Amino acid sequence: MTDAPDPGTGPAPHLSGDPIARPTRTPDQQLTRPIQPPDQQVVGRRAAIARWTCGGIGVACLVIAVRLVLDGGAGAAPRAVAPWLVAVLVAHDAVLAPLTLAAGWAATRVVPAGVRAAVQAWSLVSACLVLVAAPLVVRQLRAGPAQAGANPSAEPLDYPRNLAVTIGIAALAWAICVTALLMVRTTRRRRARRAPRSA
Amino acid sequence: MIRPPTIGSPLRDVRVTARVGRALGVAVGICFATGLLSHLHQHPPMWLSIPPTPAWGYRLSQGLHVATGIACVPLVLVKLFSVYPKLVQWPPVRSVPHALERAAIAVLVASTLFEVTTGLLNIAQWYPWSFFFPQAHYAVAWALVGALLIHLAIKAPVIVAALRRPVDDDREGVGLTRRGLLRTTALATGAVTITTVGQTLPGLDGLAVLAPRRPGIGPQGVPVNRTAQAAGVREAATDPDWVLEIAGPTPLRLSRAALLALPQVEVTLPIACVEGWSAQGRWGGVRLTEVLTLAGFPPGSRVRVRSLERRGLYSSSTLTTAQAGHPTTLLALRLNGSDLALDHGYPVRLIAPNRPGVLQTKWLARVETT
Repeated sequence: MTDAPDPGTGPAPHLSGDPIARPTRTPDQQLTRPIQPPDQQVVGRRAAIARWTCGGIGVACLVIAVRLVLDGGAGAAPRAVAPWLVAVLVAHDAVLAPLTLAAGWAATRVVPAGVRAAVQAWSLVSACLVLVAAPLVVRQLRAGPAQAGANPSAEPLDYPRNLAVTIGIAALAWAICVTALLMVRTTRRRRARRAPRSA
Repeated sequence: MIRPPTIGSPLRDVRVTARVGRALGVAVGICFATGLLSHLHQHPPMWLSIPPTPAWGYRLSQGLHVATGIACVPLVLVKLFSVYPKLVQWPPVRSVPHALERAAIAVLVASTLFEVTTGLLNIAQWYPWSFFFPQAHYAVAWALVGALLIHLAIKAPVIVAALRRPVDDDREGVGLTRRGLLRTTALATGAVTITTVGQTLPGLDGLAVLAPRRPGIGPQGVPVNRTAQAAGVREAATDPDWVLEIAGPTPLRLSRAALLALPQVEVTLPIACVEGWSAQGRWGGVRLTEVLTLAGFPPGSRVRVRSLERRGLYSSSTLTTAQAGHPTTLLALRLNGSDLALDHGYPVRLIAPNRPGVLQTKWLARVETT
């Protein structure tokens, strides 16, 4: 035999589609030029062009946004829009997200491990329903259903009740699923205990 | 023993981020495209003439806009959850490119939360701000898309690598797994959609328990966005001396009786609101072309209709040549088999195919050329 490498024992071919062959780069390294073997240079160059184009279009969109705000007059005045941009960011990053963290941490202490996944899932679905319905619920609770009579087709439903019922139905469905799951698990465990293990 | 909370949940994984991010990216794309279309409907540039067909075009695009926006709520929350520790990374800024990248992310997150929040408040007709919603929502949409494209350009290798790696079931039995989180996100998206989308999707209206409108609830079974009371036209619209002025080469002044004496047609067209609800109606009245011909308008005129409502952005609207000439474009006098209700635009309103509801001008006073 010649010095041709044995396909079975030689170094694994470097496939561009194989994620294991390439170590994942940290965010720092993404911003620097990656070192690539010659066969990947063409692909790499195309990818770089695509990324720069994508980023360039992004910058152009940002310029359009700034012009719309600056040329738009009072309708989208920076001093009217900017406080809201900051407010929603703070509301999420400094209020909603830490509350979620705290709730998640509390769940690991309070909720039994067996039903924790179900409680987490139900909480996420319910939180989303609450957020979507919040404007309608708050407005209706503040104004009262009688005053909304000016336009009988606007917000015609009892949203606080509907939200409670929807979340309740979700909880019920979850409870049924969890109970069924626990019963299946218990039965399996019992069967496993009774059946002798094969050597 | 009680330990301090850690942010190191195995759910916060780049594979979860990339998959939720992909769904969110698609949703943002749909919202931006349909939002742009809605903007073009309301602010048509000279080079573009939006066709009157399909009649349900705006109903579909704007229904999709609002439904997709609502579907973004769980996607945004889970996406941000999965990367939250990056917010408090130390040192906060490592280099100039890193600072720029973080600035783009700040714009992206703020504009995304702004668009979803203002959109949700707007469909509830709650305006606790001093800006003009359509203008601000439109401008910030460009910032969102710009920051998103920059974010995608920077993160492309990470996203590609993360999407290639399969999501495994970690920590079985302790809490939600990564797969479980993805499934729950899909479920939450489904839940907010199914409880609202019936405001535009026929057949699901019974399930739309959290939607601001219910097709079928309203005068003559069709919802109303702005009442005659709110527009301040109650007296003018019910005045027995009301006439519709047709400011053509042969000026006409037509009473409601005179309009009813002209050839009547009935068309089925949707009323599709910018706020995402829509309802089909059977409209009866006179073809706009009929009246334009009587008044001697040359064919191909650009027509504007004016409301009795004196002020407001939507007190008049302009029709393209194709819209004005379309056989289903009516001066509507009747809805679903009875005389037009005051809140639907009595004595006469415009109804035309593929057009936002705010441009289906009510309580008409005058038809003129632009």
